[in-house]
Amino acid sequence: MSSSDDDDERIPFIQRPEWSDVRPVPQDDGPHPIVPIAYHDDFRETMDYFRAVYLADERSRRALDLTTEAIGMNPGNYTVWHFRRLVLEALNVDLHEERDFIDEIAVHNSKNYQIWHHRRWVAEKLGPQAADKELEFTMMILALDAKNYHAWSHRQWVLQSLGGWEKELDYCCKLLEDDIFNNSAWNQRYFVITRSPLLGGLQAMRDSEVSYTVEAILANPQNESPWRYLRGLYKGDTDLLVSDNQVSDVCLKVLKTNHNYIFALSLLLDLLCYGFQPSDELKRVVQFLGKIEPDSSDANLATTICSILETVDPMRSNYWAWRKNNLPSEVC
Amino acid sequence: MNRRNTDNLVEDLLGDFEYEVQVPYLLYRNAAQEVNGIWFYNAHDCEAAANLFGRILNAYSKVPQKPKASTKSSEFEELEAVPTSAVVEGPLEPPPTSSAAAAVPDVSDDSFVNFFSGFGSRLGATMEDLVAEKHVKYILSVEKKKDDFESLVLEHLRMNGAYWGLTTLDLLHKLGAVDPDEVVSWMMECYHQDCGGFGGNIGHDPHLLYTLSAVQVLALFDRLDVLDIEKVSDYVAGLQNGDGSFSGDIWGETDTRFSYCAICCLSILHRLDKIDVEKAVNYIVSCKNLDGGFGSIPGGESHAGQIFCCVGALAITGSLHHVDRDLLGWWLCERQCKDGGLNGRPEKLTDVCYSWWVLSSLIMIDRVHWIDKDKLTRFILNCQDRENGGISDRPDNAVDVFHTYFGVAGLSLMEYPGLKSLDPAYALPVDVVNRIFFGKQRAPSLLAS
Repeated sequence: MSSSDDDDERIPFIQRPEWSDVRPVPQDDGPHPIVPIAYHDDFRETMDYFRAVYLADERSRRALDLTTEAIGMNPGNYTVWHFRRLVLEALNVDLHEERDFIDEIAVHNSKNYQIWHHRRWVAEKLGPQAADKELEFTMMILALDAKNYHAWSHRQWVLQSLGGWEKELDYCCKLLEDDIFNNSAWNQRYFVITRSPLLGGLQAMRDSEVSYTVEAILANPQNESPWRYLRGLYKGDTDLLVSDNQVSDVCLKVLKTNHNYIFALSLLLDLLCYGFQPSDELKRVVQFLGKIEPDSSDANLATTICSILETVDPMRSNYWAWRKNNLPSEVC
Repeated sequence: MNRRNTDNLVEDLLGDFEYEVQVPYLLYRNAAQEVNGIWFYNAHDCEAAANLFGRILNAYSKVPQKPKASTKSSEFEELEAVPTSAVVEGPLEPPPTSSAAAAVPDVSDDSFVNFFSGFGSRLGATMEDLVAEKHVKYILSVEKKKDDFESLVLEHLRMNGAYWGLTTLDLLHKLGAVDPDEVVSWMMECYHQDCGGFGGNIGHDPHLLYTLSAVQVLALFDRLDVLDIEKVSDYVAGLQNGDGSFSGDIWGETDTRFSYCAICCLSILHRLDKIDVEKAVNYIVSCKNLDGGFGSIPGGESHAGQIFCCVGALAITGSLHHVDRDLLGWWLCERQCKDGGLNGRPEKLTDVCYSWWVLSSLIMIDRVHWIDKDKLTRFILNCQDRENGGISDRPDNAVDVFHTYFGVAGLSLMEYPGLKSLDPAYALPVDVVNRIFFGKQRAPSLLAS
């Protein structure tokens, strides 16, 4: 088997005795190709030989090796992957070997749809015993890029189909320690607390999660993710959101720092729209930010918040103006 | 040493570093006194890299050194997987593929970033117009390029490429520069008569992604009559799963991208009745998250590309009432960053392709006025290569057809003058969509391909 790793050592197919019986098939771009292509010789040759075995439907060991070479040159070619699967099935290859192969190439192609789908296909066939390795694999990819969307999708599929929930919340904690701004990790955290069969579900986890989230918010109030996560913990139950002091408290704390308070203001705005009754302290702090005279009769808090946001978040001034014009009538 | 590889060669230009251009080599000596030569396949790229070295060194000699700000987001180039694209297959990277999905700097120091984005505009920093003619030339040249490794590795998704390029030409009123017969005859060679699906190119297996692109391209040319509509729609409908989701092909990959592909395709063919629309909608709704957005699977992180697919599919099936427009609208407008561009998820880098996915989603839910259009327009225009045409993912990166389409599409959605209007759900010009739905009713085609 020739190595495709080092171009200097690659032996052209035409010189390989084990391929002497095959006539390569050139790319057919049609009679008037709309995108005629001049190929790199190595690539062209490899793909010409691939086409030959593909058209002949030759599901042999050498065909498998050929797909390995073709994938090495262009892992995005989905037809090569399809054919590889047919060959793997026909040869009844030990899929643990196939998994090792994917391990090798995935690192350099971690955003390639074909590789991830192929990985899943292999893992499905290996069954629940594959769970640990799959979690390890995604962990490895996420160590290189903690927001890789494919890795997260795969990981979620593994957890739901093959299991392995035990350490998932800890894993989310670790990733958030590495980067508290990692939205994917926050999303996964929500996934775990709501879906893990080992935890008590959202309601049981809510208090501890709120504490965790509040701490994250206070450390970096400009971080969009924990604010959204916090809202998510109340899952549409606006009464609960309004009545839990921890929520309004974190808004107040951030506002008092007079810094990075956009998300705090927007959450407070929503609370007000849900019927929240603000404390005097909260009113004073907002008025201070809005440079409004305390005790001014003009102090409709929600309106003030919208006005402040129009100024400090001008990119979204149309949104804040719309909010201002659409406040529920009874709001403070 | 390429954009796909995370193990990039790193050299400190600002230390003891000297370089010399001897096309096709860029020679340099680093602080360790090693002399290396970088070979470039393309002489132009060699000179461009040398110019970049020069500009960096020049800029650093003017800017006071700042301590490197701690990075808070991924340190890797934003190669977001683009889910659709019209749906695209493959990661979003220059050279791109799939949408997507998809640059190294993620420095949180704004003035540093601004300095370089301004500095880099290719022809002087202040021209803000769309160089439409250059983009047309660029797209037509891509079709004719002979010595191009990038085209080579993307040959399997040429059907997507055809959609991006041709739709862009149509938006620029230049579809006439292409011969429809040539395109259609090539396309039909990508058609699989046995099952009714299209492959990404001649000799490639059928897949929903390419079937949609094929149908869209045929719609552009008003040549849907070449299709065996029953056969193609049966192929698409056959990919629906029991839970209402769609697989991309017989191998079973499931993703809300494919829900969009199937629904858009069948709608264009007037055959939505072949699928269980209610189940399809319910599956999409099951992928809705508490932030109002949608992921690729239930529980998947909200991502602008997936949101486009889900909102588009819901729009086409008349199911937008499932979307919390205010909540999602806010999430979407929060994608706009200080540079005026849009990202795809919180704390990710901006990218021109999101000008399409975020914008079309906002339009479909009637909330597009919540972003700052002027700033986004300037961002897109800054991503143009004003000399050679084409648009890149962010300023000063390599251009590709994928981003060229999304940049022009985004401008069209914002009613940039001189462009045709684009339908946000079908990702086709409005006159094409009107022709599909209000033009002459066509009987199911009896022609076998």
